[in-house]
Amino acid sequence: MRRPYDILLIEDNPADVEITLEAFRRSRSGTRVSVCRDGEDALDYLFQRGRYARGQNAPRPDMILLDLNLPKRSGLELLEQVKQHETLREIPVIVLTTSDRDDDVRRCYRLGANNYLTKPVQFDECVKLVATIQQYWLELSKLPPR
Amino acid sequence: MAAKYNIRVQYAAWVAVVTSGVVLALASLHIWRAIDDQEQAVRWVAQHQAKSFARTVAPHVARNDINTLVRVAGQSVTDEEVLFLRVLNAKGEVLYRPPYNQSPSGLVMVSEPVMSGGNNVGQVEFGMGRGRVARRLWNSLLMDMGLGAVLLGIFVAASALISKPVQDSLQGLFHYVHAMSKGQRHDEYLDSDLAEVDNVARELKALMDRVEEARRGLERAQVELKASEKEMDEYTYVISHDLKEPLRGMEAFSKFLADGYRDKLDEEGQRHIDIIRKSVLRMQRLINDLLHFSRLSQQSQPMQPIGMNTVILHVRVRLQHALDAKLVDLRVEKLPTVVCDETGMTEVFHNLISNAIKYNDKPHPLIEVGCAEKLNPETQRHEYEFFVRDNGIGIREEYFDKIFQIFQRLHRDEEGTGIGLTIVRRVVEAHGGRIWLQSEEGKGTIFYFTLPKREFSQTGTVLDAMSASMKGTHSLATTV
Repeated sequence: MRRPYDILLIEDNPADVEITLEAFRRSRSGTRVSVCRDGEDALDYLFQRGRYARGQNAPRPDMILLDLNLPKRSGLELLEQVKQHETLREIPVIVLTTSDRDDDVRRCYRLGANNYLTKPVQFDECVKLVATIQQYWLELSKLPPR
Repeated sequence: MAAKYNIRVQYAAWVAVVTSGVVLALASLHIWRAIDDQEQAVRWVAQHQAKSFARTVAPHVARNDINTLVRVAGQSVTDEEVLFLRVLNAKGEVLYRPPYNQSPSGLVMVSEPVMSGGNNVGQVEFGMGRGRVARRLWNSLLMDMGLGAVLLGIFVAASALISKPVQDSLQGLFHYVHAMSKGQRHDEYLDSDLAEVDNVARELKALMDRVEEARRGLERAQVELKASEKEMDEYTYVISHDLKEPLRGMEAFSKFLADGYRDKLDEEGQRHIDIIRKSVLRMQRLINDLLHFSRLSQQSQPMQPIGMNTVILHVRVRLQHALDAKLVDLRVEKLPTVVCDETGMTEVFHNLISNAIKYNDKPHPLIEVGCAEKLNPETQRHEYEFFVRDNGIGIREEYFDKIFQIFQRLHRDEEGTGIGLTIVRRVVEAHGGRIWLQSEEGKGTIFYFTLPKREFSQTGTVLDAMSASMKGTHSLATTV
């Protein structure tokens, strides 16, 4: 049996975190979602340093869900950092954010984002989206081997 | 209304009248004097001839020699104008009278005594005709008239010559003001030698200076207005965008409450949650519309030649469901291809037609869309005037302005937020057009809007077109 997938959710709004987690829960996929509340924390997680130094709580994610409105480091900065890193760049990064401005979209793709999604307004849509994301990116697509 | 003639014609006419009058007066005076003089002349000639004749016939009269008298008389009188002749003796008896004698009436009659040896032996009567007079008078008259005609010609020509510079100055004034009314300024039309026209010219130039300054001020104000409108739209966008976030939380968690805790709540509680959810949904719709609306001026769309019939086709597809549900007959005439923003115009037709479908209570709803090309009398530019006509519920005239205001609605509607017509007006005005309507409550409504006709070579964006049309009336050189 395929081991459960690991997803890193980088989101600072607690309500949105809870909504996304609930959506994953309802998808019954068994996917494990780790949450980082800002860019610094996310980098610590990905490089397994700081409070994640001992590594058990920070498995390398199969996919990253990234919100752009983050305190300290902005989502774009983080995206850049990840996509320029030797090994981290392999991880699919899906931007999941509120903005739908053309320049935000363009910049993300330019920096190497694998996908760009806007957060739905209604919860039912959230549930559908999360199910679709998992279906497409984790089941249909081939992921780079760990 | 009396026709107005130009200044040269008027002057020429006056000069002609005055000159003719003067000529006629002088000629009449001349003739009157001439008549008198001629009379005198004829009388003098008659007397002279009579005297001469009397001397010639004197010896024969004295001797009472009739035969010689007749012979001499016949030879002596050679003047044709002598139309009456009588020689009388001292007793008054007629000694000689030629056969050609006419009646003395109408002749100039003179009488001379015949003297012989110091004694009055008889009388000679001469009657002269006025033919010579008449001829001389006629010649005089002709000469006067001839002279008069020449003078008339000279004076009228002179008046025409003199009045030309005046006419030119006045024409210059006219052309200047005419150009002014078209928004052009040609100060060179005002060059004039006439002091009066020069005064007017100075005032006009000063006036034009003030008008230009006012227009510059107006343009600046318009630019500022557009800039602050854009700024406001940016704020609206940012705010609306940020407002979405807490709404998402509200929607999700009220749903969690409704789903997960329904059995723990009594009816009142459930009802309260439902109301909360409805309000949240409504707010989300309002914000989406606001965002949609504020984006129109944020992102300038490229202007392309777009076939309007194709646009309506897309709109029909989008509204097919609604059209079918109410059995709406949507009739579309042949529409032109217009240089415009496709997304914007799709919005315009979508909103107008969607409203026409929604606000119709008739069993056979009918919507007609058409277009006519017109010349705008104010801007002297060609434009397309579109109309969307329906036989719906109509709108009262007092609400004609209100319906375009954001979020203003005339009817309670679950889904609509009242932003449709606001968007339509924004898009139409962004293209440089205008929108208005006619309506009768219960009968139907016609929405009219115009789009300026632009050359196909013009692309650029809606914002470019807007700023160009602001300069529009200033110069005829632009073809926008």
